[in-house]
Amino acid sequence: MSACYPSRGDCVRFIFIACFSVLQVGCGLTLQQRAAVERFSAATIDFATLTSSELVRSRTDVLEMNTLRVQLNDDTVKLDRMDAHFTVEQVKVRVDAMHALQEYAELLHTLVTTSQQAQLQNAADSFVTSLHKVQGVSLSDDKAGAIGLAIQQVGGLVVEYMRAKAAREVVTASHDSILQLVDLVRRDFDPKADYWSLGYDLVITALVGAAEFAAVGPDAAIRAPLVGEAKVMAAQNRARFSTVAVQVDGSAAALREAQINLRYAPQSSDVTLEDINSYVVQLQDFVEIYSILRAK
Amino acid sequence: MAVDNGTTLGRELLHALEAVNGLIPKAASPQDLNNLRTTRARLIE
Repeated sequence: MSACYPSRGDCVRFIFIACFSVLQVGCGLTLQQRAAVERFSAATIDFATLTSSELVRSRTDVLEMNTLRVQLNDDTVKLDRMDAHFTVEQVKVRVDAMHALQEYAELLHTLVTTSQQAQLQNAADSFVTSLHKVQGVSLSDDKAGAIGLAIQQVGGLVVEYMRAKAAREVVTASHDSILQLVDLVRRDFDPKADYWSLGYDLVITALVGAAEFAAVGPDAAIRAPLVGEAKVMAAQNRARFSTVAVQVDGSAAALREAQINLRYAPQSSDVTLEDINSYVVQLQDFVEIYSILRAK
Repeated sequence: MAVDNGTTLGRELLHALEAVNGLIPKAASPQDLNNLRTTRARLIE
């Protein structure tokens, strides 16, 4: 008979495990919260990748435009500074920032899709390291430590609970740094500010000037094909950059709102995903427009 | 850095450069062209 009925100890153990399981699921991320983090993560990886690509390619544009200015006899081009303000160092600073943003998104993705400690630790280390490399963005030792600690605690029997806790802590500890990153990108692509977009506009305008001088010079007939090429290149680059800048700025603004939303999403199961969904839609537009504009 | 009308100094420079570009085809003499060339070079520097 005793084989058919559980002992008192077994009952206690069963009740404990049942309660524990309910507690574990109840305190984990809901499907909606998990979806929010995953969508945010995928869109942010796209944003960082496209913006990084545009930063690199706009430098290539500048080199091409300045080469054409030299061919048009524009003696204001400095031959030892053909990339003007678009130096490798200046591009790298910005690409580093986008890399940090990408690592943040990768870490969030890893957090909601795996509980492998080594993978989580690698993702967390990569994010913290890449963020420390970014000029103009800070991450205090306390916050870096909070991220590391949250990651170390994911695993064991209470994996879903700790996963939710870690997601909350990573998003909260990274919040200010992520907003700083977003603001730096927006500044660069702001058509009224004196940063990346101004440098690009200045080179385009200088190319147009070089073409105008060549068109009225003594050997205008010989240079006519180059003049035409310069004017077309200037017009195309201007149109493309301004369209991409609108996309980058719009996406960065949506990313900002989504990050704020994400900060609250893991705290409350009642949270709406409106901002994160708007961000995802904005990024889909950006991806499509960019693939058209930069198709080779 | 912003100037009085709210436009940044860099953007003012850009507008000045665009204005010079617009004057190049209208230059009446080689001297006018030279003056524009000098102004443009100063703006770019």
